[in-house]
Amino acid sequence: MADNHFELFGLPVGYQVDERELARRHRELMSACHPDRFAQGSAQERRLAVQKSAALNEALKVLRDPIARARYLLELAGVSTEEETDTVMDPAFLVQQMEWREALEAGHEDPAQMASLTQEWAALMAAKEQELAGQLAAGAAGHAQARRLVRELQFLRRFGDELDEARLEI
Amino acid sequence: MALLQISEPGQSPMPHARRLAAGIDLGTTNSLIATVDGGIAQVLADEAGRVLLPSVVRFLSGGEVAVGNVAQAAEVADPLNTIASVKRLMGRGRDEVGALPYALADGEGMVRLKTAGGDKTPVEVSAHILMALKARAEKTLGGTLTGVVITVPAYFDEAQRQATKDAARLAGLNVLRLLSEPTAAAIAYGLDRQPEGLYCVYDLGGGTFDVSLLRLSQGVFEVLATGGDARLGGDDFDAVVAAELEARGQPAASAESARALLRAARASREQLTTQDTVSIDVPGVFAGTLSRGELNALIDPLIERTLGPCRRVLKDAGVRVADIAEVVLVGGATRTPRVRERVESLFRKAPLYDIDPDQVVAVGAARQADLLVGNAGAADMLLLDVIPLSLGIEIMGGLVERIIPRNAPIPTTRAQEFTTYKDGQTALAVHVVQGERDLVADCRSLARFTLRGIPPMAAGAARIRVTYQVDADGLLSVSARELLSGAESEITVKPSYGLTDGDIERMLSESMAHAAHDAAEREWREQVVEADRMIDAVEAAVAADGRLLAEGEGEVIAAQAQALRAARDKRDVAAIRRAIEALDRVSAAFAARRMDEGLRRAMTGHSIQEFR
Repeated sequence: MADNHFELFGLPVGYQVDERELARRHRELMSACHPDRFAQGSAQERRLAVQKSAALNEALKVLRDPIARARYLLELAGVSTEEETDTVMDPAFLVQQMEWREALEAGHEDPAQMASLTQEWAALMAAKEQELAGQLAAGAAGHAQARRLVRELQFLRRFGDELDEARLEI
Repeated sequence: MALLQISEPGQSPMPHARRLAAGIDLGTTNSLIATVDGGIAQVLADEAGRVLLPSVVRFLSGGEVAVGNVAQAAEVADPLNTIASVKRLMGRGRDEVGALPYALADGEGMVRLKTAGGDKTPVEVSAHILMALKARAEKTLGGTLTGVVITVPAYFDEAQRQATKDAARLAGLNVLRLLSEPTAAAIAYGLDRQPEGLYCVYDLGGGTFDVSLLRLSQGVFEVLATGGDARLGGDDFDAVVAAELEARGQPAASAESARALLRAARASREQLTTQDTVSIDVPGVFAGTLSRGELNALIDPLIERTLGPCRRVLKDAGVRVADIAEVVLVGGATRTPRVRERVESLFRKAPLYDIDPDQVVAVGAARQADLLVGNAGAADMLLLDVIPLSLGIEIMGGLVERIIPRNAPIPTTRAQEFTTYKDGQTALAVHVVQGERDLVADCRSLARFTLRGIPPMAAGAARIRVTYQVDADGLLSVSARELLSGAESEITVKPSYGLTDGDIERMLSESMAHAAHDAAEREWREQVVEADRMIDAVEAAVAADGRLLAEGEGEVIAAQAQALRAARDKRDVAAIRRAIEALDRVSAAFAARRMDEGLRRAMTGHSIQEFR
C-alpha cells in the first residue's frame, strides 16, 4: 500500500517528525486494523489484521527513534550504515568513548561523578543529533557525514544504556 | 452465533441476540468469572453465593475430579492429589519449579504431576478450573459462551501464555484475547473514561508480581512498559512467615503438617491487615503470637523486590514518578498495609484500592470480552499491548541474538535471512529463547523450530527468510521461505516447556469436556464454525465494499462461497477445509484492498480534521 514508513502515516519523508502527531496517527490507524477489531472475523481477516498492525508498529518503531529514523532515511537513499560489518570509526571519537567507559567504571558508585558524566554524555548526544539533522537536510551532499553520525550516535546510545544501568544500581 | 446454530440446528437464533461473553481471571490462589449484563459488569457466584473459586483441583482414582472449595477442603488430608497454585507451573519445566509438595513424573518438557487420576500437566489442571467457571457462567446465563477473555500476568512469557491458551482449548472455550491483568484492572477502574494521562498498575497476586505503565489517550489504552517477577507473590509472604514459625518452633514433620502451617501463615498475614497481633497455633510446629511489626520485617525484603521492577518500568518508558497520574493496586497481597506504605513512598502518591482487589481483574476482562463480541456497540476503546520480555535466537557460542526487544508494541514481526553452510543442506534449526540476558543458558528456552524442504543448493547459496510473528496475545509463530526458489519451508515446532498440537489432540480426545463427541465430530464442528465465519465475513465484505471488487472478482468469490456452503452441509472435514482454503485464496486480494481502504479512511478522516 505505502512505499515507505513515512507514507504509511501520511507524513512527509524527512528527518523532522512531530512525535505527538506520529503517535496520534499510529493510534488512529491501529483503531482501523488492530486484531481486536476482527475478533469475530474470519481467519483471513484476523491474519491480515495481525500483518497490518505489525507493519504499523514496525514503522512507528523506526520513525519515533531519531537514530533509527536517520538510518532509515539513508537506507531509502541507498546508503547503508553497515554498523554490523564496518567497524572503522574516527579514532578521536573512540578514544573519548574509552575514557568515558573508564570514568564510568571508576565512578559508578559516586553519584556526583555519575551526574557529571551523564551531563557530558547528554550534551554530546544533543550536539550530534543537531549536526545529523543539518547533514540530512543537505541531501546527498550530507550523506557521508550523516552516515558517520548515525554510527557514532549508536555508540553513544549504548553508553547511555550503561549509564542508566549504573544509575539504577545506585 | 455460528456456534448456536450448530448446537441447535432446528432453531434459528435471534438475529440481534446478545452474544454471551465472559472475562476470566485465572488466578494463582482464586479464579473468577465475570460478565457484562445491561452495561454493568458483575462477577458470577456459585450456588452458595461464593464468587471466588479456589484454584485448587483434586484428582481422585477412577478419573473423578473435584474443583474449588471441595478440593480445597481435602488439601490437608490428600496433599499429593490436591493441586494448588498451579499457575506457577504453567509452561515451566521440572528443573525450574523448585521443590513442590507434589509427586513429579519423570520426563522432559513441562512439569507433570503424578496424581491418583494419572499424570497431569499444569495445562490440564488449569483446564479443570476453566471448565468449572464455564459451567458456572453457562448455568447462570442460560446459554453457551461465544467467547472469553482470559487474563494473564503482563510478565508471563510466551510459554506461559501458550499454556494458558491451551488450557482454554482443552476446556472448550473460545479465547477472544489473552489480556494482561494490570490492563484489565485499569479498564475496571474506568480509567478508559478518564482524561489523558499515565497510570501505573501495581499488581501483587498470590504467585506473581506485575507492574505496568499505561497511557490513555482518546480511548486508546497503550501499555508503555511492563515488568515484574513471575515468581513473587503473596504465597512467598506466607512461605517466609511459615519458615519463621518453624524457626521459632519445630519444623513441620509431614506434608499434612506443612499444609496446615502454610494455611496458618496465610490466615495470620490476613488478620494482621486489621489487627496488631495474632495468636497462632499449629499443632506440632508453633504456638504463640506474631505482631504486624514482625510481619513487616519478614516481608520487607520481598516487597523490596517489587520496587526494582517499578523503577525499571519508569525508566523503560522514559517517565518520571511525578508524571504518573494515578497508581492502582491490584491483587490480594496489596491488602497488606506494609505493601501500601511502600508503594506510596515510592510513587509519592496515595494509591487507589477502592475496587475489591480480588475482583477488579475479572471485571475488566468481562468489559473487554463484551466489547470484542460486539455487544458494546461501536467500539470506542482500543488496547495496545507490548511484549514483556525480549525474544531472541541462539547463535554461535551459546549467545543470544535479540530479534524483538522487550516492550515492543504487539503485534509485531521480524524477518531474518539465513543461509546454508553445507552443500545440499535441506534443513535448518532455529532455537528461540525469551529473556534479557546475553547467554542462552540464562534465558528461557521457548522452542526449537526445524525448517525442512530447503531446495538443495551449494553451501551459502540458499537465502532462507525466517519470519517471527508475535500476535496481539503475545504468542509467537514462525514461518520460513527460501527466497530464490520461493519454496515455503515446512516447520516443525518443539516447544521446550509446552505441549505440541499432538499432545493437545490426545488430551482433547481423553478429556471429559469432549467425552460426548469423538475427535472427528469435534474437528467437523470446528471446521463448520470457521466455514460459517468465513462465508459471513466474505459476504458482509462484498455487501459493504463491492465497489472495491475487480472485474469478475465478485462472481468468482460468490461461486466459491457457494461451493463452501455446499461443502459445509456434508460431513466431510477435508472437503470443508479445502473449500475454506479456496475461498480464502480467491478473496485474499479483495480482503487486503478492504483493509487498506480502512486504513486510508482512518487517514482521510484525519486530514479533514486538520484542514478544519
